[in-house]
Amino acid sequence: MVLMLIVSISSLAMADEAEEPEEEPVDDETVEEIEIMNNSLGCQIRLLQLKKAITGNILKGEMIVDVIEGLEYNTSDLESILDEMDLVLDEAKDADPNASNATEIFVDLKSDAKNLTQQFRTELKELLSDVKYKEIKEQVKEMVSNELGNYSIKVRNRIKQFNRNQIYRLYGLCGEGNNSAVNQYMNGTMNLSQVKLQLNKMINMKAKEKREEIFLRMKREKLQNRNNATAEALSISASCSQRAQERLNKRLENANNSGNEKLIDRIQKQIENNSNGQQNGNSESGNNNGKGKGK
Amino acid sequence: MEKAKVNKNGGKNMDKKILSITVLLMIVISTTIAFVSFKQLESTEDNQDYPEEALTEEEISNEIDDAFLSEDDEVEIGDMI
Repeated sequence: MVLMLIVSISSLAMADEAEEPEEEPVDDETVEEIEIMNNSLGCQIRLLQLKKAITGNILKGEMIVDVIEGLEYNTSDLESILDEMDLVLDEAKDADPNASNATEIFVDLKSDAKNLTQQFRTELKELLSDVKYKEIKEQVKEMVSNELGNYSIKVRNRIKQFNRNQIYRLYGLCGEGNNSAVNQYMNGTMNLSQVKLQLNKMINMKAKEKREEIFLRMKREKLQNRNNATAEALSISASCSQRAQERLNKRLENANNSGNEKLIDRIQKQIENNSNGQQNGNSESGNNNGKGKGK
Repeated sequence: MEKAKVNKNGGKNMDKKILSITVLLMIVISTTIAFVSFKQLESTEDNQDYPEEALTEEEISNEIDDAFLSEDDEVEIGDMI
C-alpha cells in the first residue's frame, strides 16, 4: 500500500513537471504588491503608483538624453526605449482599476517598465565611461516635476482611504467602533504611527484570550490575502509570454500610427525574438516530452 | 502414508496462513504508521497559527504594521541611471 502510494505520488509529481509551463514567475515583491488588489481601491493605488514610477523614469530619461545629446553622443537607441516606455505609460493610463484583469495588467506593465528601465541603464552604461556615468547620475539626482507631484498627492489620498478602511476593520475586530480615530487620521490631527500606537495599546489592554483571538484573526486575514495573491501570481505567469506578444503587436500598431521608424524597428525585432524564443521553447519542450514518454 | 500426506498438506496450509497473516500484519502496520504520521502533520499544521507562548507587544505591533500601507509606499521599477 505504501509502495502504491509512493508510486502514485511520484507519477503525479512527474505529470506536474511535464505539464508545468516554462514561464517567468512573478517576483516576490510584486506578489506582495498585488495582495491589496482584491478590491478597486487597492487596484487604483497600485496602478497610480505604477504610472507615477513610469512617468518619473521617462522624465529622468529625457533629462539624461538632453544632457548627453549636448555632449554629442548618439542617443537614438535611448530615445526609442523612452518612446516605448511612453507606450507602456499610455497603456497604464488606459487600464481600468475596476476591470477583472486589473491585477494581470499591473503585473504585465510593471514587468515591461522594469525591463525597459534596465535596457536604458545598460545602453547608457555602454555609451558612457564610468566617470561620465557618475557625473550625469549626480546631475539628474534631484528631479522636481509637477506631474510627479500630482501623482504623489493622488497616491497619498488613496492610501489614506485604504488605511481608513483598515482602521475601521481593526477596530471592528476588537469589537469597538471608534470613529474619532478615523476622523482624526483623515483630517491629519493624528498620523499613522499614532493610530497604530493607539490600536496596539487598545489590543494589549484586552484580556489574554481576546488578545489572542484578535491577533489570530489579523494573521489569518493576512495569510488569506497572501495565499490569494500567490495563486493569482501563478495563474498570471502561466500565460505571460502569449500576453507579451499581444502587447507588442498592439504597440507596433501604435508605433505604425505615429510613424516612428526607430520605434517600429525596435518593436518588430522584439516580436521576432519572442516568436523565435517560443519556437525554440516549443521544440525543446517537445523534445523533453518525448524524453519523458520514452522513460 | 496417508497421514504423512495429510501432515504435508496441513504444513502447506499453515505456511500459507503464516504468509497471509504476515502480509496482513504488514498492511495494518504500514496503514497505522501512515495514518499516525498524517494526523501528526495535520495537527502541526493546525497549530502553526496558534502562539505557543504568550503574545508579545512586538508581535501584535508587527501585525498592525502589516495591515497598513505607508503613505510614502511606492512601486519599484528600478532607476534609469
